[in-house]
Formats: sequence, structure tokens, C-alpha cells
Amino acid sequence: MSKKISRRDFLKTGTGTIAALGTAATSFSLFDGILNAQTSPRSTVVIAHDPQAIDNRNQCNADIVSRMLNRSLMALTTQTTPAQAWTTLGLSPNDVVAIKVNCNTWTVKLTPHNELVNALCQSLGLVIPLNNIIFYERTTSDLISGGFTSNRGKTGVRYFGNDQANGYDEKQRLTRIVTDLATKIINLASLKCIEGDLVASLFFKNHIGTLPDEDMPKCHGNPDFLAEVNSRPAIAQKTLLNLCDALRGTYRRGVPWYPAALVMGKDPVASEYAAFELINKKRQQEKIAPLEVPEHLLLAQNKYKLGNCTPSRIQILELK
Amino acid sequence: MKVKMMRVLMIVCLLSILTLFTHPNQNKEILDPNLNNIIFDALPPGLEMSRPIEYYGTYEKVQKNGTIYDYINGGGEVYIKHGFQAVIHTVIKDKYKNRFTLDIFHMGTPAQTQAAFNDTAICPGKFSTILIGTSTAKLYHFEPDLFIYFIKGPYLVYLASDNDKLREPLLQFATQLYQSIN
Repeated sequence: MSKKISRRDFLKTGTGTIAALGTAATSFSLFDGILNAQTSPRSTVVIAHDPQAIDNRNQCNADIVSRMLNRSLMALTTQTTPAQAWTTLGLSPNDVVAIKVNCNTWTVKLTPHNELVNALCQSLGLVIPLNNIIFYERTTSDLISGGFTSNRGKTGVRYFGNDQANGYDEKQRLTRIVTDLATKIINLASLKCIEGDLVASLFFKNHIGTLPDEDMPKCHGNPDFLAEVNSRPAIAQKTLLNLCDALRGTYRRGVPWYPAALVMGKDPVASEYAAFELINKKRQQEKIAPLEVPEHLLLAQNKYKLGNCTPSRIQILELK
Repeated sequence: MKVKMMRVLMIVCLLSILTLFTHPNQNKEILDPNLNNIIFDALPPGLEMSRPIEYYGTYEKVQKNGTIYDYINGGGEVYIKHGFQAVIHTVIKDKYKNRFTLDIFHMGTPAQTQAAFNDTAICPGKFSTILIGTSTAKLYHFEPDLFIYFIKGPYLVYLASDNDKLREPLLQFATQLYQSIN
């Protein structure tokens, strides 16, 4: 069960607590987290919009999507070329990049669009060989259901599931794709509102597919677990980008719309918060109650210090 | 001859025990064993199953392919709330690779099925109503997707296509399913 804390409540409580306790709040982890969030640098999230990027039949314009991606990368890093942007994010020519996608296509299909996947590969290919890119999901058959073609060969972009990757790291309880094979990770999520206890399936939920099957159900009704998974060293230290395919998304369970957008950031917490806000903007237009900030994001900020979900600590750059 | 029969009997016993250990809580009896045939028989011409039917249950009664969480992750919560027992899932394709998704949820009782059908967390608000057999179904059109929810007895049926140009075979399939499910 999700603890309902609205952004307003959270800010009110957090700020009030800090004002009242001042420097006395030094040992309790929640206060540590709030103070840390208040003093840490602002996180930048880029939201690129282009209504021409996708039509109302879910067909993308590949050139526009590619341009949106590269412009966003350059804006995020304040660089002038995509290659420089990747380098600034920490990508080196010998890196192997694992890209986690979400191919759960239940109800409306929200697997990352081919045009975005191709643009991402093309852009990464400016720095690393294509064979150093691995798209992965829980199983290879999930990837195939999502429209990808399996490839474990020595040429071209690789696509395979955890089931074909020598099992799981025993200590971190994560697929060896991220612990052993990859030196960097990109979290490529879809903009999916599922309501219920998890509220939405975005960056944090995406890594549930990085876990061994038997650990996956632990995320239900357990926001701490969801935040903790994303704090495991292989994920927290190797992730160079969080990218959300918001070309098409759902603003309530099973109800899609076309925001024609990409959301990206280095900070997973801020990026997820910005994606939530995108969903909430649409919900507001549709006169539906906004989604509450889910507890796993507050824990990710306050307990695991993975980033910011306090609006004043997030800088959103909108590209039109 | 006797020894041979004994051996066969022992192998059968061992296999049964092994099956029990492989799926300790498995219980297929919840779902009508004829559903498999019903789906095959209801398929309109030109459509075929693209993969074997999958079965998902609850933590208490795990089915062949696991629990509802293995299929729809967190989305399963709301079905559990309404008494979900098991679901069968399959994907059907035509020769142009258009996809139809079929889920038949067993919700325990007709009353629970009706409650699930009325819950906007399962069947969202923006639908038009159509008649499937004698039942009012909810039809959703979100370009290019088209999907239908209808209920019969303890079953909540979800049928979807990612190509709304296939409205006719979708409705035909739904009607046939409605008539065949008991």
C-alpha cells in the first residue's frame, strides 16, 4: 500500500521540520535526507516536445525523434555535439552500455518506439561500437514480444534477456548483464501510469526486470525495496542516463495519449518526478486527481540519496 | 510382463511426484478446462494462435506460468482486490502480423466479476457500449488500439487489437467467445 504524501505535504513537513530543528537534526536518516536534498546541487531534467514527432496512429518521424534526442543530450550537458554530450555524461570508447527497456505490453503497447531505439544507437555509435550496446529485458522472449530481434552475435547491437546472460550476481541480486557485462547503463523507460500501489511504471520500476524472477514480487507494497534496488552499486554507479520514451504514454491505467515528448536526466529521482509531472499535467486537463508523489521517490531522495524530488531542487529545461 | 508393468507404474508415480514439486501450488481446476478449445473454436477465419496459451494464478494458487504479477506486474493488484483467481492469456495473429491479445480472468463469482467490470481502474471511463450476445460490452478506441471488455458468469474477458482497422474480426471473435463460454 502506497503512503499518500502529496508534494505540498512533503514540502510543508520537510521545510517545517528543518526550520524547527535546525542543526539538531543530524543523525536521523529522514532529516539527513531532507537536509541533503536541500543542500545538494539542483538536478537538471530535459523535456523535449515536438508534436510532429508522432502522429495519432503511433507512427513516429525518425528524423524528428533523432533530432529531439540529440538536442536533449546537448542541452542536458551544455555541449555542442552529441558525441561531446555522451563524453560529458561519462561514456568512453571502450564502454559496454546495457539499456534496460520495458516490454510489458499489457493493454496499450508502450514498448520504446523503434525510431527512438535506432536514434539512441546511432547517437551512442558516435562514441562506442554498436556491438557494445546491449538492450535487455527479463527474458529474450519479452524483447521479441516488444518487437525487437534477438541478437547475441559479434556484430551489430545486441538484444537478449537475463535468461541468456549467465544468471544473476549473488551479492547484488542483479542480472550479470549489469554487474559483469556492462560498464554503463541507460535506463530507457516508457511513460506508463498504472495507478495502484506503484502509481506509475517509470525508471525505478523498470529495474524490477533486472532482478531474479523470485525477487520481482518484493516490489509490491514495498516502496523501500523499489528504492533500494536502484541504489545497488551496479545500477547507481553505472547509470549514465535516464531516458523516458514519452512519445506515447498513459495518463491513467490503460488510457493512452500522445505527449510527443522525451524526458531525460542524469538524476533518476528528478527524472521520474518530471515524468510524473507530465502525466499530472494531462490528468489536470482531463480533470482527474493528480498522482501523489510515490513513497519510493521520497525514500530514494531521503534515505538512499539517489537524487532530488523536491521541486525547488529540480531544474526543468523544456525544449520545443 | 508383470515387472515391465510395475516399472511403468513406478515411472508414472515418480513423474506425478516430480510435477507436484515443480508447481507446488498449481491448480488448473479453477479455469474451465474447455476454455482452450473454446478459444480455438471461436477464432475467426484467418486468425491463429501465435503462441501457446499461458496460465497465471495467485500466490496461493500458482498456475503453469506463475502468478498474475508475472504477467501484468503491479497492474495485478486491482484484480486481486476483486477476488481474482486465475487468468489465461494468449496472443493471436493474422497473416499480416496484426496482433490480438486475449485475456480471460476468472474473478471467483459473477458478483466479483461485475464489480471488476465496474471498476474504472480495470475498465477505464472513456468507452462506448456495444452488444456482445446479450451482454453489454465496453469498447475502447485509442488510436490505433481497439479493445473490448465483457463479462460472462465468473469471467471477465479482455480482447484487444493494436490495429483498429480490425474492428470486424475483433467483434466477431468477441461474440463467438461470449456465446461459447459457459
